[in-house]
Amino acid sequence: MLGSRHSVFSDPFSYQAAIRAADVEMSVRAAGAFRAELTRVDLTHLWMQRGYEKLARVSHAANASNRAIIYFHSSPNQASIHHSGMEVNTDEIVVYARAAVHHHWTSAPLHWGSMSLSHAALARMSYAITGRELTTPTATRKVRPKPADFLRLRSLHDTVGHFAKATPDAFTNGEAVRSIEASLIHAMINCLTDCEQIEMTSGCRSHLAIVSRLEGFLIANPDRPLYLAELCAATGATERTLRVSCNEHLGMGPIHYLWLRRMHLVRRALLRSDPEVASVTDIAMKHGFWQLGRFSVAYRRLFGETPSATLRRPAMEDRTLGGSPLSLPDSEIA
Amino acid sequence: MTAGERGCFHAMQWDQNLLRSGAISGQPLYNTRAALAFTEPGTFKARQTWIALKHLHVLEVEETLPRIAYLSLSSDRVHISFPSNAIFNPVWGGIALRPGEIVFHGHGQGAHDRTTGPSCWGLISIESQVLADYAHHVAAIRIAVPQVGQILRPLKSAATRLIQLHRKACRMAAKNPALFSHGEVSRALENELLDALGHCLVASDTDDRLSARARKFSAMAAFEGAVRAHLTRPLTAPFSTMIGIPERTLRSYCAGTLGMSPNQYLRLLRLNLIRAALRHSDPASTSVEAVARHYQFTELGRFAVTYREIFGESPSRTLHSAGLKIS
Repeated sequence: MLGSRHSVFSDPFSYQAAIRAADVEMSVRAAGAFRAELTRVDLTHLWMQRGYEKLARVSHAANASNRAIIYFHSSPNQASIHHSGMEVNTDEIVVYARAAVHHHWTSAPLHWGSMSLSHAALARMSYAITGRELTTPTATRKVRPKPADFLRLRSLHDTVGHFAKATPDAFTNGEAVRSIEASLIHAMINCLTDCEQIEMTSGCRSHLAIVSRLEGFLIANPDRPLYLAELCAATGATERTLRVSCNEHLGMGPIHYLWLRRMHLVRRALLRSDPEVASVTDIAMKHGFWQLGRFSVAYRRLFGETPSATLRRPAMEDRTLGGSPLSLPDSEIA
Repeated sequence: MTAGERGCFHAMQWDQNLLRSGAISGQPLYNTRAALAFTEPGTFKARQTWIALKHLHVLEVEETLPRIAYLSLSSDRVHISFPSNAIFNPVWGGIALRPGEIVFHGHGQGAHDRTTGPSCWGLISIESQVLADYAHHVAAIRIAVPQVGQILRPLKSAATRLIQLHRKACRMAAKNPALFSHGEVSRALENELLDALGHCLVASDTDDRLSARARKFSAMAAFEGAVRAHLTRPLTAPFSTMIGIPERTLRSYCAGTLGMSPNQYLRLLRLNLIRAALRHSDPASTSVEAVARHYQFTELGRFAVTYREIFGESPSRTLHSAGLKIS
């Protein structure tokens, strides 16, 4: 199904739900009003997305298992980002493993781009173009393409993205679309061939294992506030090990991450609740916040509004609010 | 009994209420067989706030007068105490505690605890297994509960965090006793305290000379026992002989720990007991002389002078003043 869509978001829950081919759970980690944009273009074989996020955040994502996905900065002059514990610079592309489950975090506003093909299409087309079959790696890695190749990819991606934003119904004409798609796929494959491949270090991999166990524990306890002692017991890692692993993969230490998660749980509860029935105090206390003055200040700093303002917003549906299991059946994403 | 409580108590009830707060866990928190010993005039008041969490108990005590007490704590839990105000440094086991230092109580015998002015101090007790689990999982170490108590000097930031968190929690519990009965709030505080405490216990200096300390504590425990045994009995031998250490050593221990000589301490305890007795006696049917004699004072005149020096009033005034009755 061909088509494109451009949306602007003022809340992270809708934004994360809209990201295609990945189940994303995002926690904003910087203060301010949330703002994000997402452009999606679906061609015959190739799907692409471009996004902008105003606030630094840490995300946990599970990629769809039926797509080979790459991810990169959509423009060069930006801060580096961190994927699966690796620092990714603007001259590098993240190539995901099959059905990768990963964390990525940013520390500044981000303009990003991604592209995906089915695994079969990637193999077939790369063989046709280069005589060699590209396969999806078993472990997420990053590559540094030749600068000219990357420039071409970005410029095409950029053009298509802007076109889609400006002219939403453009992607219906068969011939023009096929031509653009061919160029994009060609550019993508060129970037992935004859490039410098950078694997995750073994330290990074072992930290990845710890962070995965951490996320597993969080997912097993979706609504409960969690604390360091039980986290250490569940992951089998000491605070020190957790700190190193979390700093690498999440961009923050475990205690801060647990705190951030609790703040997000409160926000979600406030968004779900009816102000006639619920109170900020009750909800805050249910999540272990007993120093209410301090909590209010921190909440306001993080989310750009007071807890009571959040409570007063119209109640949001559960579906939009995320907090879902890691793997969606493939059909839901296709 | 709610999870947090505040009470305002007079001298006689101080240790009874500490016992009662320990009764939450089914174990006496303090084993004091006699009341506190006061060394200065004034009316003693103690305000206690305690919070019973699932595995931790938290206590804060504010006292208006300096006093000496002998504290020995139940051994199935781990106890940590610390001064909360910086003005009058308490003396524990003969060692002056500086702000930011914490006492990691041993599970052997207790120690003399002496305050030097109006004071505020805190105590946290944890189930031994819970602390052990924490140390194992979070820091991969074993925290050994000492036989003899130790004074720990954690990093300033760690100590400050613990003391401020403790104070904040107690203040809130005093304002709102039901606050920490709330499941998630209680769990949050417990985790925060455990974490703050863990950081203090795991990375801190301790004073060394372990064996010397153990000898002193052991001697002072024996001394305390001997004194208690002679409150209403005449001394037939010097204390040093009774407990089997050189006189000079005992004097040195007492000077540091109690701020006075062994016999002065005996006399102080006796005077305190007399005062307590007089306060709760019926003036019509009690004679100061009889009470004094019961506690081995034979020269009434000298006794009255000493009594007034310490308590700021004559014994008969105590007896006849609008007394406080034990409830």
